[in-house]
Amino acid sequence: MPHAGPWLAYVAFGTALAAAAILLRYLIQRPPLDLATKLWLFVGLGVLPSVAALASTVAGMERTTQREFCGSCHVMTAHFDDAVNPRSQSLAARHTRVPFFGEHSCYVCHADYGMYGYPLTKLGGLRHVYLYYLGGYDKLSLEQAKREIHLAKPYDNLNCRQCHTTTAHVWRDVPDHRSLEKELFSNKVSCSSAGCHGFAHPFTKNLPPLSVGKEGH
Amino acid sequence: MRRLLERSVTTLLRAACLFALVGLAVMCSSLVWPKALPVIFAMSVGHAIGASAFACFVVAVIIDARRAGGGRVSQPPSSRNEA
Repeated sequence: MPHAGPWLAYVAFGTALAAAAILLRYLIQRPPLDLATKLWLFVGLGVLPSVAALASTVAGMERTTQREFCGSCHVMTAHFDDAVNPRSQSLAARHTRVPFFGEHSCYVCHADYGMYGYPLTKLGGLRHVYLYYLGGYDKLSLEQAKREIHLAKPYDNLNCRQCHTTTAHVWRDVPDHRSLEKELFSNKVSCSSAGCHGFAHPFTKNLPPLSVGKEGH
Repeated sequence: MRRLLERSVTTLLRAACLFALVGLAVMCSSLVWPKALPVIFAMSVGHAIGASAFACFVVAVIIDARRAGGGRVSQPPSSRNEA
């Protein structure tokens, strides 16, 4: 999980400004194309923009792991508001209050932790963007979104087990854990289900229909 | 032909500078407005514009080097007319 600080954004801005100064000087003064000018242009067109691109990419990717980024689409407003609500007792809110999760609570729980977890997670994020802008999610009201938007696949208990080890006594001493161990490991039973630790986002469950259906049911 | 090459070098370099300025602006915009579309736009279109700017610079340098034969310092058309 990347945790690049805001200094990367400053690096990106600084190198971009320096490159822009070199390029604007060339455009305004139009010096002869001697070796010195070529070297300056190489710095202004190659070296500094490369650093700016790298820094802005890492800073941008880091930004995409923050909760504010996930909540920037209106269909996630309810999830965001619940996560940051200090009075909420939902699984998501309680985890968000843990310093380890902090500003990255959505990402920490929903990231893929496999070998290629980071790029796979980002590819999944691209799918979200596609669904939002081209799949009609941008036209959903918040109430519709709470009913219609679901996880693409069942939540993997492995994500819970990244922190909650299943080998410690505190876990193994719980009879339900022991009896459901196989089901938990094979994702047949979810840790965040109604009979266990509760839903992560309970406000999306068991909602009454918005209105009487046109077909009469 | 020679005049065309001279102008192409100057034009390519100016285009490279303009492309690079646009690319840098796009990349920086994603830091100012870190929403989904600006970030994706910066990482795709911004990088493509930046790469094309550098490609223009490389092509201009190659044309200039081939035309100058390695030793001469080329002048933009405007400054040559003044001289």
